Amino acid sequence: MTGDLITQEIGSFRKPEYLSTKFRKGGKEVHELIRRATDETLGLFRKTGLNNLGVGGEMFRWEMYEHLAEHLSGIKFHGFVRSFDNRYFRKGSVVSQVSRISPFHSDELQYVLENTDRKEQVKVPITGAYTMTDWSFNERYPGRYDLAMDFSDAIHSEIVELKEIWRRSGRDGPLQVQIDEPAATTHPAEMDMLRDTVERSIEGIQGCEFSIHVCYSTDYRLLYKALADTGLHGYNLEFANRDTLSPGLSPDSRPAYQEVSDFADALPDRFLGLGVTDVHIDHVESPELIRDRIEYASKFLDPGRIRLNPDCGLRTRSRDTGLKKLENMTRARWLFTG
Amino acid sequence: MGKLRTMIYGIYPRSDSLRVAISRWERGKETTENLRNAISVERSEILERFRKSAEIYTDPCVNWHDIFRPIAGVLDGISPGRLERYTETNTFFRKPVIEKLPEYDGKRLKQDLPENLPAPYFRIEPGSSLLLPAPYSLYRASEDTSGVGEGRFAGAVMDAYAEIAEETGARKIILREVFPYVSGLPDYAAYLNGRFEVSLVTKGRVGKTGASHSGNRFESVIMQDQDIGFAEEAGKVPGIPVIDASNTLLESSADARIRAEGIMNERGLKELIITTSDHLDFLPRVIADRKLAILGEAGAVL
Repeated sequence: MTGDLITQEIGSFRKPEYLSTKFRKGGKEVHELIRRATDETLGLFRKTGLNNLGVGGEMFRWEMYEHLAEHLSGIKFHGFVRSFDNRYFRKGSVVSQVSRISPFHSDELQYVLENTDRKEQVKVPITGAYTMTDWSFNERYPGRYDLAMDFSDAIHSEIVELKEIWRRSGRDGPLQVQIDEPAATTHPAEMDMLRDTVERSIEGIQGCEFSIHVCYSTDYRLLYKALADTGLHGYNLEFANRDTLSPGLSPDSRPAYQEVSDFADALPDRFLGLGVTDVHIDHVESPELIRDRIEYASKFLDPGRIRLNPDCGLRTRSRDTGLKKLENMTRARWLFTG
Repeated sequence: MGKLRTMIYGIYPRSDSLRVAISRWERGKETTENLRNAISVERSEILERFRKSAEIYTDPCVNWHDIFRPIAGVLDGISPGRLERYTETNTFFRKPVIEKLPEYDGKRLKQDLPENLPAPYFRIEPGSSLLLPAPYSLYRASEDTSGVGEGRFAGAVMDAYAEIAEETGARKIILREVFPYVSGLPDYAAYLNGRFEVSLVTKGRVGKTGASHSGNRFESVIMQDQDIGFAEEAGKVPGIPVIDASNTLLESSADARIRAEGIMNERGLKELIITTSDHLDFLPRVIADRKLAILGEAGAVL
């Protein structure tokens, strides 16, 4: 699998207000609004020149944890829990055995495939089993491992179904599946568990390109070591948040991207999705700054193995800011490639 | 039979209505004064719950986004930096950036600070305690771009804490140590003892060097990850967590009480503090309310 400086979104994009204010009400009207928002977001992504349209900004999902949890048995919600600042999510409590009771993303993928050109790239993000485990209150299982394996089985079933939708669509090439694991390296002692969840989630599934998305890790090297022998083809990671906003190619200007050398050394045959724009600040990085980030990373890694993306989903920014960040990312690619 | 005392400290979960009000304010749809009022109402309501369930309590800090940001904003020389993951609960905080030796800037104490919700951030009710992040944790959570080093930093921060306590009228201070110590206990008590009653809620191993200073024992020490013997050495009153702040599973107040009484009998303690394992901020509000009530029942304050 190649990088080729393909530009991609990580997954989520801010919902238009007409959708966000009504999303939780559900029903036929909301379903129509979801489709409308997906169409509009796909259109915006196309305008920015993004190569991979993802699933149109995840308009079908309220939030990455809750969406999956609502399609699983065994999870009870008591209310919202803070993620950071005034951002909250409904963190579930596992009160009985976890298993998949309905598809997570079938309707979303089906809709996106019906509303994109056959040549347009799409990518389905799925919240990973380790993160689902780590972000749940465990009231039921004696240990986290068994819970993580049950989440993995549920995700495996989902990917098999998505793959079947992809096959029926007659599209060429592999289905791109991105396993979202923001919690991946938060407990270094559990890296073997992380590896086992990834392996169980994708076990025996052919015809997919599997990537993993991790962000705000204190040490990506843990990830590279633990997952080196799994069937993952690429790693879409956050870097910009820990970089400076000063343009230039000096090590002082580009502290975050020095870590790309670790990736190059550890995983010589995988692609790297390089986070080049920070999703937690409103400042829109200039194309020149982003170009410098790409150029610095390319000192360590062949651009043929690099893809370009924001650090994480852009849902934390306004649609306008998110759009500008994506536009500048694609402009930076042009600047870099000349 | 000794005395069982209850303590609740730290950031308490916001209600849905306050959460929504803050969200509206962030989008420019709510005025700062309206939000300040909403925070004040919520604070009063939670304090009422605290008083019913706990003998020792702090402000519920509902206008704090994380434990480090308000103090980083009030002290000159520290600013909020990038988002950093607090791995234990998988939540985030703004990593403070130490730009120079911190100094207390009195003007900032009552100001609305950038990157924060409306002030005031440090408030005291009669009888309540002032919550502050322990300097070691503040330093460890920060990025030191100035090179001042942990020792000088901790000293400067303790001086600043004394000024904040004086200005807010606090008599009692609870220092919250978020990270385990790597080595011995910094001698915080030496800075503040005599002027304030200082309690330490810590995950770390308390070193004997600092703790054994004559006259420098803490008012109380609550140990979370180790034998209570250290808490006895370092503080006048030891404490233990009996409420798990990381899980929604509800404890039994009877079990908590039996456990606490067992420790008191075993060690011949006249007093023991029971509390939570962390801020309840990491739980849904409805669960936090129930756990707080259970804590109160265990301590028979209700």
